[in-house]
Formats: sequence, C-alpha cells, structure tokens
Amino acid sequence: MRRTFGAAFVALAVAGCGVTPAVTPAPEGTVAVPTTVGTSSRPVTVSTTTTAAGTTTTTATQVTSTTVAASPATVPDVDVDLSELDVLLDEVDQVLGSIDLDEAEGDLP
Amino acid sequence: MTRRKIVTVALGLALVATTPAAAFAQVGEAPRRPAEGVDVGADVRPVRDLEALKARALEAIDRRLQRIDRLEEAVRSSEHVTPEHRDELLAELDRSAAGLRDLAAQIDAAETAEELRELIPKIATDYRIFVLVTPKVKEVLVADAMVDLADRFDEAAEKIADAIERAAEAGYDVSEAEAALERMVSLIDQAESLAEGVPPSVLPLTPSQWPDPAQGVIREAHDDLVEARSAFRGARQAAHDAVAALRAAIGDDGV
Repeated sequence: MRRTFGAAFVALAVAGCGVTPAVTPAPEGTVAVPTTVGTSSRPVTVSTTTTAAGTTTTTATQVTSTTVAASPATVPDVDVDLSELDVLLDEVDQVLGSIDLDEAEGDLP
Repeated sequence: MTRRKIVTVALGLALVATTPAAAFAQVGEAPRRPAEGVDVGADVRPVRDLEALKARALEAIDRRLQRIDRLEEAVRSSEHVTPEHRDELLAELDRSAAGLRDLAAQIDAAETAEELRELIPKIATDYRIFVLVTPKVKEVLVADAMVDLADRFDEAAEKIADAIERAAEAGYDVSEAEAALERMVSLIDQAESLAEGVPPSVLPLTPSQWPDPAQGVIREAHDDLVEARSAFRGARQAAHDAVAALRAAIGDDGV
C-alpha cells in the first residue's frame, strides 16, 4: 500500500507514533534515499522528492513484512550458556594440578 | 712420657690438623681468603670449604626468595582470592622473605663452621617455603576460586530453573530436567562446603608445626579440594543433562 502525504502531515503522523522523522530536504532535482523511521508495530519508510520548481513531496510506505519473535509462552528458551563454567573449572584445575605435595626442602648443603 | 711417645703424639696431631674434616672445625682461626694466584696449598682448603658452604646456603635461600616472588605474583594476580586472604598471604610471604634475607646476611657474616651448622638448617626449619608455604598459598587460591566458581554455578542453576519453569508453564514434561537440576545444586553445595573449609584450616599453620600437624592438614586440604573439583565436574555434567533434558522435552518446537 502506498500513499502520498504532504510533508507536514507525515511529520505529524510520525510524531504521533513517538518517532522523530529523519526527513532532510534533498538537493534540487534529485530523489532522497528512503529512510526507515518507524520502530513501532507499524513502521513506515519515508522518502522525499524535490522538483526543479522547488516543490517537495514526501512519500510514506508502510512496512508490511515484520519478523516477530516466537512467544516464550509457547516455545520456551532453554538455551543456557555453560561455557564460562568450563573455563573457570579449567582455571581451578591448573592451579590445583600445580600443587606438589612431594616437594621437599632437601636442597640444603 | 718418653721421647718416642712425644714424637708419635706430635706426628698424630699434625696429621689430624691437615685433614679437611678436622681443619674445617678450626676454620675460625684460618685466614679468610688467599690472594689471587698465590699457591698456598692445603692451608686454605678450610676457607674454601667454608666459602663454598656459604655459597650453597645462599643459593638455597635465593631459590626460596624466587619462589616467594612467584607466589606473591600469583596472589596479587588472582581474580578470586578474598581481600582478607590476600592480605594474610602477602603478609606471611613478606615476613618469610624478610627473615630469609636476614638469615642470608647472618650466613654471609659467619666466620666459623660452627656458626654455619647452626644457621643453615634454619633455611628449612624456620620457613618451610617448599613443603608448607607453597602448598598453603596455592590451596587458599584454589579454595577461593572454587567459592567464586560455586557462585557462577549458582547463577547457571538459576537460569536453568527459569527455563524449566517456562517449559513447565508451556505444558512440557520437565521432570527429568528438574532431577538433573536438583543433582546439580546438591553437588554445588558439596563442592562449596569443601572449598570453604580449606583457608581456615591451612592459613594458621606455621613452620614450627611441620611436620606434625601441618603436613597432615595440608594433605587433607588438598584431598578436600580434589573432592570439590570432582563435585564441580559432576555439577557441570548435571547442568548439561538438565539443558539436554529440556531440549528433548520440547523436541522440535524448541531451539
């Protein structure tokens, strides 16, 4: 779905979603790169076009495809990282392994 | 005494005086060191023996000072030792180093074999750097690292418990995971309890307590740490088992 609004209207609409629009007037006769400004549940992509006569047109396109995380209530996350324990256990192993209870004071003249 | 007997006794005394062992005992009266390049024959052997003895004693002290340096470095660089244990260990190492340096000065200044015979054994008996101080320091470092490790294991156990709770709320069978978690927590407690007992038992040990009771205490502490390590390994396995059981329970739905 694609709609064309006046620049002021889009600014108001986006501001209503709690998002500051990043709309920068493009140089005369060029088309600005579209910028995604929506981070709400219904994000939009905004682009601004400036004609040779100086008229600016802003277009907002609603993003229709969004990746939604699976609900933890239905698929629980059971991935627990245990690698740190392995590292610490190795550290303990090293010092414990270096203890020599058979060492003697037998180097005296 | 007849003239013949007098001659025999005099010859005997002369022989004794020229043997190294007997001369060694009278080294206090001998000149300290002959001039370089001067051949003074057997007369200076006792002095050379005394100097060689001193050199070996000073080397023995130096080896202990080097060991103390390494132990200090290990204590200072440990990320797990408690501040109280660190201070106590460093203070003991400092005292030992100062005492050994003082002993080295006394040995260097000794002029008789008699003095050396009294001083040299102190290198071992008054400090016990190799048999007592070294294992004591390492055992405290390992014990504190294990107590720290127990905290990390507890954190992992909490995460696993949370995951089990989420899976249970979602309707999955978590009985196997719960059993593994219970095993894990029990082993962590066992390991932590063993490790916590080590510093209070070994820190008060002094060289004068060697070998009894210090040697036995050091060995028991070592055995406890080995047992604690074994418990931690069991806890780690139980943690893996719990996570694996959860994944198996969730099957294709899970991660």
